[in-house]
Amino acid sequence: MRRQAKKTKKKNPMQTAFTRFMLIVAFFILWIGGIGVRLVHLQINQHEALRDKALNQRRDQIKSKQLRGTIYDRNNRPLAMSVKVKSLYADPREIEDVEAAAKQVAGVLKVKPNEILKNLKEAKEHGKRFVWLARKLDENAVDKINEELEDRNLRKFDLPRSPGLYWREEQKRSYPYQTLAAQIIGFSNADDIGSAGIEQSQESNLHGAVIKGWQDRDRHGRVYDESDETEEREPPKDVVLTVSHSIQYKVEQALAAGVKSSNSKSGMAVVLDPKTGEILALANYPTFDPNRYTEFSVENYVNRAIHDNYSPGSIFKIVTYSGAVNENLINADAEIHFASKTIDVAGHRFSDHHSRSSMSYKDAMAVSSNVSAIRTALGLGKEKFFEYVQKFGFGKPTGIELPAEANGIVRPPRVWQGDSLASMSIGYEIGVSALQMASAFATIANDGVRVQPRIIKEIRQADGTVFSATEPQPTQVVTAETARDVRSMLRQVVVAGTGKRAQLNGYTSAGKTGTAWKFNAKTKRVDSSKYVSSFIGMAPADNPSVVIAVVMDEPRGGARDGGQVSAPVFREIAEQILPEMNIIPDSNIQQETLTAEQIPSETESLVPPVNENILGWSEAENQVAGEQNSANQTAGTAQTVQPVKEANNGAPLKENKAPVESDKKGVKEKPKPKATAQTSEKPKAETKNKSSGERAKQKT
Amino acid sequence: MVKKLRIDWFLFAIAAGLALFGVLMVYSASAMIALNETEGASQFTYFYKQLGFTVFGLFVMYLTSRIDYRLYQNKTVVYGILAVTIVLLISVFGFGAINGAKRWIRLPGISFQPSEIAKIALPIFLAYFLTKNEKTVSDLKETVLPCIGVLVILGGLIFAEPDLGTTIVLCAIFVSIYFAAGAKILHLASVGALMLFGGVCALIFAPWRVARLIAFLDPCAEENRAGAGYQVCQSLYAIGSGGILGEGFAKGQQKLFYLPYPHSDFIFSVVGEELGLFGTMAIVLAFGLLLWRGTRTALLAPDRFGMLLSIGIITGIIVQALFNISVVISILPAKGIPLPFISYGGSSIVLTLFAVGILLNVSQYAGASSKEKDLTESPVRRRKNRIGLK
Repeated sequence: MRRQAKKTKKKNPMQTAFTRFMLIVAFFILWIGGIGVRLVHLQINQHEALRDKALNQRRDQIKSKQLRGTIYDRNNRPLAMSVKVKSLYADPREIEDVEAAAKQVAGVLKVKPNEILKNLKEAKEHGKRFVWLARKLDENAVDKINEELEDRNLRKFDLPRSPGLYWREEQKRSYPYQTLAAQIIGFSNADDIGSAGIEQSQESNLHGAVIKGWQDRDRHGRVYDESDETEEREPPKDVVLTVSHSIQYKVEQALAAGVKSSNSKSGMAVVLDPKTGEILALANYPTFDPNRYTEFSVENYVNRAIHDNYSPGSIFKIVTYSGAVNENLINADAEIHFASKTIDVAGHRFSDHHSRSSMSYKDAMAVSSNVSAIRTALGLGKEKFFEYVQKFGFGKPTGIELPAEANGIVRPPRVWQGDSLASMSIGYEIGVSALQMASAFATIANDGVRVQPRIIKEIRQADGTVFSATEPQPTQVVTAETARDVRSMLRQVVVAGTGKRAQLNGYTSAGKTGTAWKFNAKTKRVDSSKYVSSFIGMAPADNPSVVIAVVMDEPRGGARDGGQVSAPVFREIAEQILPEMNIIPDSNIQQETLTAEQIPSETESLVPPVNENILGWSEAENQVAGEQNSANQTAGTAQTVQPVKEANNGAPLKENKAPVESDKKGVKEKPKPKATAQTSEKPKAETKNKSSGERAKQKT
Repeated sequence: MVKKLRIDWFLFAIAAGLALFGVLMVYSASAMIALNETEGASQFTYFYKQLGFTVFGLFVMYLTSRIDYRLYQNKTVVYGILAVTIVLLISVFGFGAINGAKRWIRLPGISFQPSEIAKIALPIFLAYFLTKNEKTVSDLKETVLPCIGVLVILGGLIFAEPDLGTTIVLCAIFVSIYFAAGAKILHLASVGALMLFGGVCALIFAPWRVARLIAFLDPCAEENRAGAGYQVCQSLYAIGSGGILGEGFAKGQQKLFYLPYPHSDFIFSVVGEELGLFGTMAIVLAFGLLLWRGTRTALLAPDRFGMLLSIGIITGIIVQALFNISVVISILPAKGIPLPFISYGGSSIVLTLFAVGILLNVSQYAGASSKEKDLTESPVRRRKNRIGLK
């Protein structure tokens, strides 16, 4: 049967054709089945993987940043602003001849091709798609590159028309006033992160959010689709400072001139509006240009006026007297009688330069009498004195909106030594920042009301509406009467005391000088050659509109007192900015030309002991950022060294004092200040004095 | 006895449907290219041309279906067609090359590819010759060598263009007709070996083909992606991106110059991306239906000439389609060949529809045979009926 069938088949061509063609059709059907399986595999199993690959080759992820917020001065002048710039990058995969490309690009950028070539080669070897060639170029440079690298034969639709080269938009931080207010503003780094100053402290407000998007490009590189940036992103906010750029400029000029003429290591100045606590200027010298911050020493970035602690010296007497006046222990016009030029407390002898046997407290302030201040403090007592120190804001940050603010160093009474109260009353064994000290003066200037210093006026939203404005919380530190009384004492300093050089043309002024020796950390001894000389003043004297603090670090000229090196800077600043602030002149006094000799020397009245404990203590307990500085400067105080202290820390300090003229003529004085000023402590202290031999020093 | 009935309208519908679908896909695939070439003036230049040719082609198909296919079973006609085809194929070399290939005769206002005519001329010749020499199909001198001679002339000329894809299609047409006509397996095997040898030679003399061949194994591999495997890899990206439902008509993105020739050789990729698995399967299914109707036509043809002619035509179309799809989905090495009905190209669409027209004319008898029971007794009668009822 089968054979028969086969035979038939063979014999009948139609049958053969039918069978054979069915074989062919079967083959086609198998083929179609294979195609079907393959299609299912590709479009279902491999769908996501292939789609991602396709997406990957046409899509560029684009990260753009909102422009960082602007920092304005109080008059809406931009101190820091971000501008759009372009950076050139290469996709090495699209560059065939790396060497030629590197040469060409380097030629246009005017740099050496080696580094570009190295980067390109490396990236090409690793199959990278992205290499920076030049960053943050301005418009001119961009145009130039577009022009010079143009390859007209290339089918490329975005600039520059050169294979593998692309632009990416970036932003660049610009500080149009260059060094102006550099330490206040700070700077933001290459990644637009604030790294110092307001830029750092207000990072959260200024920061421009990263907006992620994408662009789809066809194979020729043309963008045909992009993500729409409908994504709601809050734009960065602008920061308006209380600083006035013109006042800041004048202050910086005057400070720089002062630092140079006094040959100081550095200087700082603070200008405060005592009524509002607003900082109108805050300057440090030497300074830096935030546009090129990498070219400057890191030390110059530091805002010393808020970051560094130093021993204020006599200038701190303002706290002592304010406390006593407020407690009705003394008043400006009361008389103080001196039995001696010295006073011994807990075995330490403090001395004065003047040799009058009696004077008003006003005059005592004017000549910066240590004896008077110490006796006043002893009258006030440890706890009360400490209370006023705290009330005036020492020992804790002022809360100014800047990073790395110092606490200052104020030890609680329980750790005080016998002579600590006396030392502190004249500004030793304590560490303050220039801003804290200025704030204390502002409190007196503002009738005893302390307004927390601030440097940010308001935070503004992109549309110009105020997002937040600082509302200062005033606190009454001393009564208005006390403040007026103390101001009259400060006035006397300028009129007839150590601050004569702070007299202004056309305005009355008041203030106090301070001159302290610095502590040398290396030798653990005070260094008689290093001073911190300051003057803090206010004007007009009756109703101060401005408080100006000037602090010179290590003046090395002839005259080094605060009254000699800092007061003239105060004057320079005040005379320039008062008219600008529309303050009506209240005096026709023309300052006569003063010689150094005419001004009571404050240096000579320095008599603090060196209490080295403060060093050990400050290392242990001081939490401020500038620990080293504070340690140095806090301890770096006195001229006189007390042998008694040696027992405590084993560092013999005797020999390091300045030329000493043993002043045996120092007579133990009978304490008889204001009737009210007597306390039991004082006699006690006095009985102890003299027990240890020490020398008072006279030096100029 | 043999009574005319209606042509196979189902076959007509499949062909017309594929052609019209092709017009739409050509629009989608070519719009950006048109914009680019006209510098933004128009995205319809390819679409209009394709639409015009398709409408013309459908008209031709209808007309052809009215022409009795036995008209071609005539010595003068057959050799005339063959001679004209060969002349045209030779004259191709007088025109300039496009992309390194001389495939077109370009006259003012019109240009066409003679190789498309060869795909019809060859089955007509073979059907005629093998019907005439029915008794001596296996005779080397009488039949085999003349047939091979014609194949070598046509295939050789086309191969020289070069157009390896069409050459392969011609070989497939030859093999299937000759096989069905009752060739000796030995002869076919010899021809097969010869073709294999020719293929190897082609590879040896054209090294880029070797690269393509290797690239096809893994087109998206690191070393192939940018080179030999680029086209197929982009094609796979496109098809894979489509998933089941596709991105939507005209929403494909691979055609934005990533995919090579998206409107011609790789139009199937565009279908895959835009219409997904549904779209690709629909096309494959359509060609499957075409195969079914073509097979039915061939098997139910009233005479040997009609049968062999139908086999040749349907084989040509199906092989070309499956080959194109296989390349695009990377189960065969890359070879430029258009997808019948769908790819852009005037000669291709008009002559494919013309071929279907011939098929349609033959199909009339199939319709008759399935309805009328009074056909001549034939050993395949029972099966004929079964297939007819499929």
